[in-house]
Amino acid sequence: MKTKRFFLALFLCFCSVFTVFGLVGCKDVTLGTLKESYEFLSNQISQNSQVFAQDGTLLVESYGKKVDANIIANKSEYVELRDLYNSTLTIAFEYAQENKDFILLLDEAALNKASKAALKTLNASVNDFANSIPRFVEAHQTFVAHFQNFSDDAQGDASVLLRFKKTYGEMVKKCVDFSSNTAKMVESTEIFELLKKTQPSAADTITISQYIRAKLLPIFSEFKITEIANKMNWQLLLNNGDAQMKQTLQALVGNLDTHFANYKQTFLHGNIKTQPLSSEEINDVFNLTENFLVEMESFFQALYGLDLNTFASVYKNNMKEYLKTNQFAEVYLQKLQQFVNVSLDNFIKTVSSKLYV
Amino acid sequence: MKKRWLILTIVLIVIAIVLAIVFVNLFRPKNTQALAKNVTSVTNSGYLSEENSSNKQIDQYLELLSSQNIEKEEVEAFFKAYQAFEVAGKFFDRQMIFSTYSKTYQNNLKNVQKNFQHAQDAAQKLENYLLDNLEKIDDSFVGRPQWLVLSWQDCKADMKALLVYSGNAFEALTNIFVNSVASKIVNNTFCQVVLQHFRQTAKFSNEETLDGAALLSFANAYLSVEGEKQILQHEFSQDLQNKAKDLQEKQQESEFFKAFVEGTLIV
Repeated sequence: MKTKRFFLALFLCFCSVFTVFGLVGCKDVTLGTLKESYEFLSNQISQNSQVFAQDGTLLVESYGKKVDANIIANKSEYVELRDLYNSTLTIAFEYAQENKDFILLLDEAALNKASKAALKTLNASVNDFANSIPRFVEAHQTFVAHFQNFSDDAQGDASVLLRFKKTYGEMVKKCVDFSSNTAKMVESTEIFELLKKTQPSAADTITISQYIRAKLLPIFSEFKITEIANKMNWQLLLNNGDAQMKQTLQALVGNLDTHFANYKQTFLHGNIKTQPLSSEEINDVFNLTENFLVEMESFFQALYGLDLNTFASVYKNNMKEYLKTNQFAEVYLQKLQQFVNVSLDNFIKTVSSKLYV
Repeated sequence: MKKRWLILTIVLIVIAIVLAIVFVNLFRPKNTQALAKNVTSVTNSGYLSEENSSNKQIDQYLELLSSQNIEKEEVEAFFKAYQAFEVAGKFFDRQMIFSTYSKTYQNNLKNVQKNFQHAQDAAQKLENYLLDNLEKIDDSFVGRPQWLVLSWQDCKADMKALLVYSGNAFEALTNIFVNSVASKIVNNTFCQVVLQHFRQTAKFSNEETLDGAALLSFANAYLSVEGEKQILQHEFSQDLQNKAKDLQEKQQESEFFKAFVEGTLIV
């Protein structure tokens, strides 16, 4: 009898384990949930408005007189705060805000499987970003307070700047994820499939351009903020190794900077074609974009596979030594060069000629 | 009764384990690193690497034969074909880590590995022969010219084997590439035309010759790091897309097919 009960209990245990696994992940996220998450984010921003710009753009405005002076004075590690971090944050946040109403007005009953999954991911990323804001604000206050203690010429402790950038970079990454997941949500509604089949309007051209802008942003943020700046500083990457490797890495980073400038010039300040594109032209742009996004996945595979932090800090940019533990390191580096120097350059130029005057 | 319960429970446990193994294998991501590791190994440290000892020995030997005008035409054809395979090897090395799993990948993987291994063995055999005869290769050896002529008769078969097996490996690699590299920026129509032509030209003809110079010129034009830019331009250039289409459809009549083969087709 005891044995029978034991095996029955074991059997029921298996059944309940399977049931639990089946039920995990079943909690649905609705548009109502997403709206609440957006409100939470909005509250986080307004509660910390002393750091963010007052006009509604999420732009870290003030670092205090001493740091502002260093930025204006063109010290590169400070200039990055405005050039790269601020602008990436603003571009990402703006795209997410621009599409918020469109997403919240979707017909919940008509959401397909892909849209429901995208909605869940988007909701999580809104909350992630919102939760990263207080941590950033605290780091910002520490950073500004430190530099207030120094005279105009003093640099202060460089490690304080690095720590601040790390926290700032983590927040920017969350915002870029928020933007990318917004793009995925928009894509999942199949609005672009509709545009391919109908005669798009000038407003549709703007929508397409903004979508492409959002999809491209991680290329710059993942390399220059997340992958490098979150883990180490630029000096490790750009000043180690033999002359040829230094030149290769400096050229790679330099080209990426140039493309970021072109990207901003094109997608933020370019004059969109007021004459609507034909259906054929729209299809061309989408085909090109879809193919490019697949190649972009190879770029990310190469970026993470190369692990620039380990390459620079542990192996001092010595490729021969690094190949002993990472046999694809050279292949990954070649892919990064090929993507940045050829494919990205071609894509930005081609798309800008099709969408902009 | 007790026995029946025991048997039933054991059967249920066995079924659960079998199902778990089946599901784990179904959803486990397929490994596409095996091929990439093989190609990287061959190009970075194997017979297709300039740093490899077999490669260096064979290079020096073929250069010596050529400078001594021994079977110059044939030797130079083999030498240039070997160099073309080095370039092609590096091209595939740059691509295969980014391939996705496919049936073609699975079906051709062993073919690539086997042929590269045979080519490596042929290279090793040549190296061993040359090392055993180092004193005869030295220019102080009185009978060197006669020995060089005789040595080519010994080495030619292994050199040819190296090239034939390499050609087979690249044929299988091309099959995998076309079906497994997802990116159309790289795996585009123009690239497939390039690889198809390379595959055809890398085989020995019925007259037992291989146009090494043409193969090397072609490989440098399209498969080297610089040459690959033309492939990468394809999606962004209507002109190149038209040319690729023309090459596929009318290659015997196209005015630029000759330029394509010579490696002078410019986007």
